[in-house]
Amino acid sequence: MRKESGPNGSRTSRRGRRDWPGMIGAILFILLGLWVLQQSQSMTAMGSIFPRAIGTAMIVFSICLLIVNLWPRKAARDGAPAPEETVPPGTAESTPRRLALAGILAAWVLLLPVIGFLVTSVLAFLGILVVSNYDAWTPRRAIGYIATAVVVVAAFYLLLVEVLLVPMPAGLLF
Amino acid sequence: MGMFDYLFQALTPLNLFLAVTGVVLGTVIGALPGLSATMAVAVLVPFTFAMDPATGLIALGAIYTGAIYGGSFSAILVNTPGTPSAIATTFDGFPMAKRGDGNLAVTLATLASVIGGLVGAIALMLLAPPLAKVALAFGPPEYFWLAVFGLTLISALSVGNMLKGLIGACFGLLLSMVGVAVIGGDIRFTMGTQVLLGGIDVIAALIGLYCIPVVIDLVATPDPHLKVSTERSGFRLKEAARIAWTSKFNLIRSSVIGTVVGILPGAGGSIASLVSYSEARRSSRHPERFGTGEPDGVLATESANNATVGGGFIPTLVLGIPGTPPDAVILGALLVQGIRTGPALFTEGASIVYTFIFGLLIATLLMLPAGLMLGRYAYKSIITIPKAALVPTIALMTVIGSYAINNNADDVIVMVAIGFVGWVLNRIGFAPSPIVLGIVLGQIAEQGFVQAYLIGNAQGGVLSMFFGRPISLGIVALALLTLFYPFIMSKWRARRASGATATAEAGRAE
Repeated sequence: MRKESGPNGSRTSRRGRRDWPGMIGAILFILLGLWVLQQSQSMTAMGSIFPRAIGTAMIVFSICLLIVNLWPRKAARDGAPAPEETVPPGTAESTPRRLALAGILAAWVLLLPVIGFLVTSVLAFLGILVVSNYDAWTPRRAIGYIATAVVVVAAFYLLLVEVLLVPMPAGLLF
Repeated sequence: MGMFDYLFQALTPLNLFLAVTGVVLGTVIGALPGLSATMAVAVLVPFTFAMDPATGLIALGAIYTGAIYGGSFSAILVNTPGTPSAIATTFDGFPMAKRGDGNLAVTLATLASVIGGLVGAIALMLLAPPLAKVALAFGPPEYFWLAVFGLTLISALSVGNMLKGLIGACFGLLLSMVGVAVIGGDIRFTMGTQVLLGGIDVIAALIGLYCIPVVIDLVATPDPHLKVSTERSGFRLKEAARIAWTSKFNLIRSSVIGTVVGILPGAGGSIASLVSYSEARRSSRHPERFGTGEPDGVLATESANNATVGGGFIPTLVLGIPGTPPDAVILGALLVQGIRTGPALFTEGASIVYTFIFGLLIATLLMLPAGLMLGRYAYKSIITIPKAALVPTIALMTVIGSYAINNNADDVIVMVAIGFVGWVLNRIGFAPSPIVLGIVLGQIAEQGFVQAYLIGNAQGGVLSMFFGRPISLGIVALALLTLFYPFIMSKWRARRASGATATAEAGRAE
């Protein structure tokens, strides 16, 4: 879901520009559709009807998207890129932080069954705290953050294990 | 059982407690800019799996309606819509706050939300049962076409991006096919891994698509330093009630618009509030006051967006086709609970449905005291929660939530992976909602499609099976109409410049 922008959000600057990211997306979707069609060869008649229909539809729509984008005049309207994310002017977006967060998330979910819920979650929580913190570091803040991580994770852990009776993965540690 | 029995079932201490908790949690999440109602429902859904279906539905309905309402707080007090459905609330809410009437605007928004919510819920109670009777006549081709209709509608609503919407819908449908096929039993698209054998869990996919991109983008920018405007104390409830009474026609009209938009598959609060806002301005005696702090503007948007809650549940419960994006999540939750939504639910599962509807009515009423208290005493602390605490907490909830669906760590991996894919697709213009609808409707669509195909084949006419039945043709006509909707919209926009542009924007925001 897109973040909110004002009613007259960022729609103005797009006129006349080709939507390259969208076109790359369309090419990838065509390849995906071809893979789906190829896979459906080895399925039974009943199991392959729907994948074939949808795979074909996806390829057709993607080709249409490419044509619309390459068409000289229509490109301005139908193929315009729609940035789902609108950021207020003057705020720089931090890609390193995004990547760091994605990395932590990936490590978290991959190590969760191996090491255990409590340990990975406290560490990941702290990691994400560090990534999303923009304020200056003081000893007090650091202690506060560590306490937050432990308290929040422990609270959710107890809620799940004791109240909702969900067995959390224990892994090697906890 | 009579209606009173259902009412009393909805009034058990547990249900009341969950209704209050749900409304409060929903309002808090909704008030936080950047966190939408869909997200509120998605992260909290797994906690309802331990409850019985009616209770779980009441909790989700309360969270949903609370979140839609909560969006108005930030819209009014800091000029930042807390949820996309409160975009139009900023137009007049914030000017009111600037001139010192912020508390009046919040009280008006609360009253309007309660009234809109009640109109939507009553519509659900009155319209859903007769619709369910009609829907009993639906066969496989009708269900297939209904699913197609839902998908075309949400694609068409991504104005200027209809093709991307359709491609996204196909992508969602393909994701729904991973695993063992509903008909035929083929093992499809698992790429040889055990992880995908059971298919992609709907809830895990929804949490990933709706929450992970938000979390990733939240860390990209520092906390916005939001300043809450200072104002006089008190609720000014009497004054607000008087204004609401003088604008009763506006309130009712906006609530009806909200209900109808909610019923349309895929369209939700943001479209409803913008349509009703421009209608309110058009029919006002003082259209020039709109945008400068006109109470009618706040009343129109807030009653309309809360009316979509009840309206959206109509197709969700009757047909199994989500009326609004949060309904898609709730539908997924019902599937996990083993409840097959559809016309039969109103006879076989009557106690679940009616207990829930009464619960939703109660939760909507509870929004009045809960909302006024939160707005008065807790708003400042909500809005100043630092991102450094918010982001990891949401991330933790997505992990816990996707794990708790089946107590399976593989679902968590699937959730995060789909979240990453969703984030990239979102950046290049493929919105999450069509994909989500594709995943949710995939099985219904495939079952309808294959069954209709087989029956048609056996009767010697596949085409007449799909195109020869009157109800099917009606739905096909609706689907075609929605495909041409963007073109109609652009004509309409040319005529009515500002209001309609905003509506188009909301189509993508949804």
